[in-house]
Amino acid sequence: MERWQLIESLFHETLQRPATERDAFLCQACDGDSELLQEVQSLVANHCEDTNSQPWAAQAAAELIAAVPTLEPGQNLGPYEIVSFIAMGGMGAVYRARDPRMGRDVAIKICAERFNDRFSGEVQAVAALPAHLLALALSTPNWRRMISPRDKPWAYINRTTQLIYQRSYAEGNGSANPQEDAGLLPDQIDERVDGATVADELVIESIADVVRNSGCSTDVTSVLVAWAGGKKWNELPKHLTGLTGTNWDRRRVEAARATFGRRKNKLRASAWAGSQWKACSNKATCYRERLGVPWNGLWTYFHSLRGANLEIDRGVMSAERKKLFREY
Amino acid sequence: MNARGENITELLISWREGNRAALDILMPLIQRELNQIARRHLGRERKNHTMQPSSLVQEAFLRLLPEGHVEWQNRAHFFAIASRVMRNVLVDHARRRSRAKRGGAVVHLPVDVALALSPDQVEEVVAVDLALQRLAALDERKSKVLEMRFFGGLSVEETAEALGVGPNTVTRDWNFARAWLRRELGGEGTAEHGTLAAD
Repeated sequence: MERWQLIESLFHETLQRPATERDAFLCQACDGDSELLQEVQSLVANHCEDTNSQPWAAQAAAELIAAVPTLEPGQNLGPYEIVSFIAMGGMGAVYRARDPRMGRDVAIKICAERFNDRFSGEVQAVAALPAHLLALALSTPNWRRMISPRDKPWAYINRTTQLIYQRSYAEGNGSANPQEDAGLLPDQIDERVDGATVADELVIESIADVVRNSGCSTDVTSVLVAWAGGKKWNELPKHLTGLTGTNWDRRRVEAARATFGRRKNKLRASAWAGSQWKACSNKATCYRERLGVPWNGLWTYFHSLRGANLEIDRGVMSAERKKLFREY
Repeated sequence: MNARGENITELLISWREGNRAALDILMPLIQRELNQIARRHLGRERKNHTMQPSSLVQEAFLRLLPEGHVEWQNRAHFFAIASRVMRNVLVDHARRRSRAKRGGAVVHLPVDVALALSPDQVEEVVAVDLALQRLAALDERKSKVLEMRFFGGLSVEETAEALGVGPNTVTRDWNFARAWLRRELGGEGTAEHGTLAAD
């Protein structure tokens, strides 16, 4: 212990001297004890002057302590029963869950609280346009065709809820024959989705149930449903997006606004959905493998915004839109 | 002082007198409090703000022992346990991530871990923990100073108050212990990504 104190004492005394004088001082102080000299020299060499900044470890520990609680197998989340943990990323954790009503597995992502704002924005964006039409379209026999509120057919959906953008939408010259505008027949559209599994009105109902069942076993009070399987925003033809390849959402939206003017709200929703799809697709392969089941093309997002009352339901659809939809 | 505060004070005293079982009771109590406060902070400050770990510990202390007439030994022990809790959380997490990285079975990790630690930091946290155990055998006070400052995020003044020594002593301990730790973790030139150089 005396040696330890000696080392410490020499360490501090050395640091009080100018750098040019330290070696000479140490050689003299150690008085031929090469081991002691080496010990103190190595400590001095590793000395760091900065003492006031915030250690990153404490910050990381605080963030971990504040992390969203995780789910355990057997726990119920709305109508879903958690089967196992699959994986996690920066935005949240993904679980394999079982929907007993439909008798199939789903993937559920619990998002970190830090992304509440982002998801609130996404909920509003998705709720604003295509997702609602999508939901309604899926629940009717006429589900193949989705109609824009501005009376022009602009997109098709297929059985996996994919959106296939129609050229005439961007060009503003939609005709009376939407299949021709799309350049595809509905049957061909189904063939283009790699035989993915059916997502019918039951899916929509299950989502609605989750929203209604806010009394979940965790803090979950709001839900965002994101549709995976759509075309990546940045894979769309450039004359549709007006982009040059950037992945940054804000620039996407701004570019879209500049290109499409008054359709900005619609495009904002599409941009959000596109970015969400991208986030899903990055990990989809990994999750698909771990799930060991066909991918349903559907992600259900939960987040723990306590006290929030964000909902995706069919009530926000305007009377005008409903009328247009019924007419089709 | 409320019943909870009295209970924690008794446990702190009991632990100080050598009762290890008191520590086992205290740790989850303090972790739960830290947890609640941290979430509230993050919820309130998530827009362009980062939570200060030292304020997390301070607030937990004030909530659990609100009277303000707490002996410094109790305060010291409370801060020591809070820092230990934060160290445990970080080290447990880093170890689980290391196991997962080495191809172990799928492990259940809390959310946000990818943001909390980079891969380099994961390895470093484990190494720091082991080094701190060695340092504790050599010089317990320096080990506590490192733990409180590095894992607990306490300032020099808070650490000094908690340990009942002067700020200059803490600064000297901190400088020496950091140099020792950096050397233990690989020496000059190899700790660029990390620990104490980047704090």
